[in-house]
Formats: sequence, structure tokens, C-alpha cells
Amino acid sequence: MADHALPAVRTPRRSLLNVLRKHRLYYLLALPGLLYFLIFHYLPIYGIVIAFKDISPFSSVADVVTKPFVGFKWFRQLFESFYFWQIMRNTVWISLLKLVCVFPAEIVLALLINEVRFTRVKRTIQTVCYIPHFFSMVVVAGIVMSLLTTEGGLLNQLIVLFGGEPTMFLGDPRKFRGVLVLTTLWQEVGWGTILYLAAMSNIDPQLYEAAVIDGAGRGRQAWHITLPGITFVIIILLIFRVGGLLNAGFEQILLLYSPPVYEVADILDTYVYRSGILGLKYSFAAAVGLFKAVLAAALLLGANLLAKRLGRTGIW
Amino acid sequence: MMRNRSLKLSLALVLAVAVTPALFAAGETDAGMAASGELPEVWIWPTMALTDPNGSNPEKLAEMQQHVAERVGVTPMAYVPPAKDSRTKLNLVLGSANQRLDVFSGNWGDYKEAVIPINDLLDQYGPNVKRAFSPEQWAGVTDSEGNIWGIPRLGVMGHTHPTWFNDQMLRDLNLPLPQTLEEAVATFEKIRESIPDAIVLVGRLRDLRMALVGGFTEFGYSKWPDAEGNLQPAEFQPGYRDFVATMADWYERGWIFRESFIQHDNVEVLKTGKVAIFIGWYSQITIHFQRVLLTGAFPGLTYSHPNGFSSANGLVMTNNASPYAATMISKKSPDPEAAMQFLNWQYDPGKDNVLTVVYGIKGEAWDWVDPTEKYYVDRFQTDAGQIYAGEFMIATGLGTDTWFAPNTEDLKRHYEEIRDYATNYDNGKMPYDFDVAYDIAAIKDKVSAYDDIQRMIDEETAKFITGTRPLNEWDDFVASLKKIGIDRLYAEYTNQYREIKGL
Repeated sequence: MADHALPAVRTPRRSLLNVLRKHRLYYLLALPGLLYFLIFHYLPIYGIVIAFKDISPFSSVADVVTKPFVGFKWFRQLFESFYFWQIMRNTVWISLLKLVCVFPAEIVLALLINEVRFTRVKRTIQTVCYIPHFFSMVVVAGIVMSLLTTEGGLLNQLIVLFGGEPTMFLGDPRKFRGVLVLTTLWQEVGWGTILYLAAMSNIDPQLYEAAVIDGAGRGRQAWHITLPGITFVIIILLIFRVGGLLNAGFEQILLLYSPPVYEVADILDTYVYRSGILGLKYSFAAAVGLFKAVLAAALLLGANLLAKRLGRTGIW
Repeated sequence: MMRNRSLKLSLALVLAVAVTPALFAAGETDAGMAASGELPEVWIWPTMALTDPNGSNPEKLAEMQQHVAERVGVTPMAYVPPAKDSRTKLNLVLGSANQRLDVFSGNWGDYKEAVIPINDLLDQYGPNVKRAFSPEQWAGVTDSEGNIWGIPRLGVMGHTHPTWFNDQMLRDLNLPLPQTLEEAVATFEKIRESIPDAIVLVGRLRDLRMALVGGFTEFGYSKWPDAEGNLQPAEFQPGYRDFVATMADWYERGWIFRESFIQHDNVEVLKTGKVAIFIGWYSQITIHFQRVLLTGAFPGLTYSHPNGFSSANGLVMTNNASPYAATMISKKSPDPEAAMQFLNWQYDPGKDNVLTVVYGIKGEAWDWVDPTEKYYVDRFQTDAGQIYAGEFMIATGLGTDTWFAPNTEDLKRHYEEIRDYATNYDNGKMPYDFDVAYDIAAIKDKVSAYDDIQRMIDEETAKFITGTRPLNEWDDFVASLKKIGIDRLYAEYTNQYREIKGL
């Protein structure tokens, strides 16, 4: 009987080695990047061990390996601090205030910029809005102090002009957080619009044309087309911001705070700076850093999960 | 084919970009660490501000290296510290396995793990160094076991926080320079009344404490012994609450600058020309404001301080004990003997050597105005980029600061102030434990609330003075300090005090 079975088609074996050989140039091209991440991002993770040992700034690399473990000594020191809960509350509260005030402002500003029809005007507005982002925080703090000082500060001069009393904004616990939020708003709101504007430029223009035919005005177009069109960017950025909730703005606060406002301004990072870095207690600083990283990861994962549960796009 | 060639080109480009910085970095390291002869090298982390912020002209630096090598038998080498965050970079160099550092300055309590005791080195190679400091200053760098951890830089200083009065305002109001706290208060009142826009008194919390607490307490701003001989914090001293109440009263009257306890720049406030009384570290007037005055911005404006400023409670100011500031020899130094020999050469009582490492070769870069008096110094080379900038100067501090003064208007006054007052302790109360250097690291290890206690003291005191917290809550404040462990902290201070004093 004749064998009518078709001969098996022999597909080349796509072993890993073959794939590597075939695309060797691409893999070589990726190699520096992979090495970069391995050397500068993955190997240093071993440094976490510093949080469980007593390492001084002058300890050698060998000391990091050979010194005995001290368990959770540095974590206990953080949690037992008289100010721990106040510091945590300040950290989260300042971050939340910035999130609630700055995050929507970026979206609103992006929507407004998107509505400007004259390209040159639009570009000028964008440039002016981006500039403060590039100012060093030291410069920003200097500007804030000059504006707010009771000795000739512009704001206090205006207050006096309208019959008020000079106010010590940077020394008043009721006003200090407001200064932080407004400063961040001024410095970052423009920069925060970039991704939204990029996403808006990808929205299909036919949608707007259709909406115009249906009689929709500019407001309706923004509400029903632009906003839904950038929702995925909003969600992703929100997830990242939630992940960064424990970063309340170290440099900004360090440069502006003082003992009279510690109760509302001292955050995890400033506490670590005073107790860990200035005091050369690097293990303590590493322990707080690890604590922050774990909490940040939990927040990021939680926000991502929540977004997916709500039927939105997550970050992975 | 074309695609493959582009890919290869891209690959070559990426590898080139990745490898080039590494090659340059290697080159830098080799150049930076190049040996310069057979003599032992002494690597220095400069402490003093360089006379040219960009560092020395390379030729002048090499000339100085040769000059020192011929006289001391060592080749000095220096890092150029970054303007920002110099201390972090210093720590990185100290922790580095392959970067050498022999001599640097800092608080010896922080660096005990990184340095060596220098008792034997001082005995063998450091007679000039030993002679340059008083026994009290040496006590500040010596631990309870007798180890000397560094060369003192400051030790106890008198007159670091004088009360400076605006001479022009006093003249205009026909008022004498107050000699007592009571006279000063009358002057404040008169100034407030007569010059409504004057800023009567500028002073940060620490400055006010150092300058004025002595007027209210027996020991000034210092730890003090209770009836059992146990050390207690300055804040628990009889009379301290009165000091806070008085400051609160002055603040309420608008005498104390409203922003004294928040972030501000004292010199910027002085630049308004409206400050009547200034309390702060002396160099803010003798250097920083002196430079402002030299611009001609305020013709006729000067500040003077009374000597022996006192009150019914005795001297008002507290002398400043800074026992921890020291020049140290690194544990990594392969040749600590050479480092000490170089230090000893700088401390030569003939004074020429220290001026040489500050300004350059004598006769070319500088000379004494009067060779018999040997105090004022004329500089001949000052052009940026053309001079030796002082990288090899490590004999900083009171050991040599009283020896000379640059003959220039911007610095002369500062050095004269140091000469006249820094080691004159008769104008302030001596801290009770001025000659004891506590092992702060050991104390922090035993009392983890150390930083919380410091924060509570600063924060709450500022609140009491600014009126944010009423003074009738003072006892609650004391109770809070006890609750977070101030008694334990001072029990540790007491133990160390007794151990060091052999009590």
C-alpha cells in the first residue's frame, strides 16, 4: 500500500541558541542596556542588607558582608520614635494635598492649552508653563522666601496695602502646608501637562468633526471626546502618583521648614536626613528607605489592582 | 545587506558610547592619583576656604609641592572639595577602598571608626602641634581612655556670640554702648520708640541662648549639676524659664525680628541697614557684613559689642565649647608619620610655615608688614587662576588663627577679633562641662530618642517665644521631655562625665 501520508514538514528548531545566533546583532545592541540595569539597578539591591546591620559610612564593602546582623534594630528605632506617627501623618497628608490640588490642575490646564487654536500662542503658553520645572529647588525656595517675608515681601506688602497685618507664612503651622502646595502647583503644573497634551494629539479629529455636526460646543467636545480620550494616561499617572505618596517633597520642605512648623512639616525624608544622614547613621537611613520602598510598592500594586477592578487599564 | 550594515554601525556606536566614559574615568583616576616622586605623599582634604575657589594654578601648586618636599621630606597632595555637599564626598573618599586620604577635619566623635589615635605620633613627631594648644583644648579631643583622636581646631572659644549694637543708631540717639542687660533693654525701648521701622534685634534661637541665657541662670547655656551632682539640661536650670519668658515678651513687643526662628538669611536682613542689635556667630559681622560695608552701601554704619556684658546674674554670654572639631589622621593612611611631620611643620611657632601653606612662598606671594611684630601680612599675588590657593593648609583653627591677620580691610577685622577675644574667656560664663568630650555615638546608641529630644527642645522653645504655645504650659513641656527620655539621656551624660573626670 502506497504511503499517502504527507511527509512531515521539517521546521527548523528554534532553540534559544539558534535565536540568539540569528539575531545576535540585536541582542548585542541590547546588551549595554541590560548590563546597565543589572549593574546599577539589580546588583545594588544587595545593599538592603545594610538596613539589618550596623554599617558606618567608612565601612568597607567587605564589612557589609561580614558584619553581624542586628535584626530589626533600626526599624524598631523608627517605629518607637515619639514623632513616628506625626511624621507618617505629615508625609501622607502633604502628598495627598499635592495630589488632590496639583493632579487635576494639570488635566484642566492641558484641556485649556489644547483649546488654544493659534499655534504660536499655544507654544508660548506651554514654554512659560514649563519653565518653573527647570528651576533648582534652592532657587524656588529663595523666591518663596523673598515673596513671603514680613520684611518687604511682595505678598505681605499687598496685605498691608489692603489694611491687613503682615503674616509669617513660613512660620505659621496653619499656613505652611498651603505654601508647599501652591509652590508645587506653580512649579509642576505646566510640566505635568506634557503627557496629556501628547495623548490629546492622538485623538481622531473625525470625532470632533462629528461632534460639531451634532451641535456640540467646545465644552461638550472636551467633556465627551478629549477627556475620555486621555483617560488611560490619567489612570496610569494616577497609579504612579499613588505609588509615590511617601515622597512628599524632601528638598522643598528641607529648604523651607523650621522648628515652629515641624509639627505639620516634618516628613519621613527630613526626619531621616536629620537623624540618619547628618548623624552618619547610614543603616538607619537604609532601614527607613526600605520601609518606604515596601509601602510604595504596596500602594502601587493596590492602585493598579483597583484600576483593573474598575475596568481601566493598569500599568501592566 | 544594507540593513545589516546599519545594524552593525548602530552596534559600534552604542558600544563606543558605553565604553568611552569608562576610559575617560580611568584616565582621570590615573591622573588624579599620579605619584610625584620618591618621597612619601600626604593626601589632604582641605578645610579652609581656598583663596581662589577654583583651586591653584597648576604651576604654582607644583612649585609649592617642591617647596614643601625640600623642607619636610613629604609631597603634599590635595583634593579640591566640591562646593556643595563636601562632607558627603569626604565620607565617600574615606569609605573608598582605593582612594587615599591621610589628613582631614571634622567632628572626631563621628569619625572614630575612620581615624587613628595620635598620642604616639604627637610624642615622636609633633612637638610644635602639642605646644600650639592648651591642656583644656587637648582635653576636648581625648576620650576617657586617654586616646587623643585629633588635633583641636576650636576647643573652647570666648566671644562667639557677642551682642552687636548699631553704632550709627546709638550715635543718632545719643546713647552709650550698653554694658549691662538692663541698659540694653532700655536701649531697645528707645530705638523702638525713636526709629519705628528699625529691626530692633535679630538672633536665631541658638544664638539667643548662647548670647543671653547667662543673664538669667548661674551656668549660662550649659549642662549643670543638681544637688546630687547629676548633670541636668540647660532648660531645667533655675532661671531658664525666665529667659524664655523674657524672649517671649521681647517678641511680643516686636523687638525680636519676627522671622528669627524660621528660615532666613541673617546677612540679607543686615543688608536692609535697619538692624539695631545683632546676635549671631561673630563672623557674620566680622566677615560677611564687613564685605557688605566695604561696598560703600551704608556709609558710617558699624557694629560694636560690649566686653563683659553682664546682668544681676553675672556675665550674660556663654563661652562656646566645641571640643569635637579636630584635624585627624585617617586609618587608611599608609604613612601617618609623614602626615604628622607635615602637620608639625605647619605649626612651627616661627609662623612662616603656616603662612606659606595658606598663601604660597614667602617673599613671592606674601610677607610680614612688620617682620619684628609678625602679625599683619601683605599678599603680593591675588589674581584668580594665577596663584597657589591654599590647598595644603591643614593647621586651621585656634592653634594658628591668632598668629596673623591679612592686611586687607575685608579680613583684618575678623582676625583681630579672633586674636583679641577667641581665647579670652573672661567675657562669658564657662560651660560647666567645657573640658569634657562626650562619646555622642555611644550615647545615641543607648538613648534612641536623642534626636527626638533635640527636636522637642528646639520646636517647643520657639513656640513659647513666638507665643504659639502659652508659657503656662512650661511644666507640661518639661513632663513631655521626661516622658520621651531626657532623664535617661542625662544619666548617660553624667556617667561619661564622671568616667572622664575620674570621679
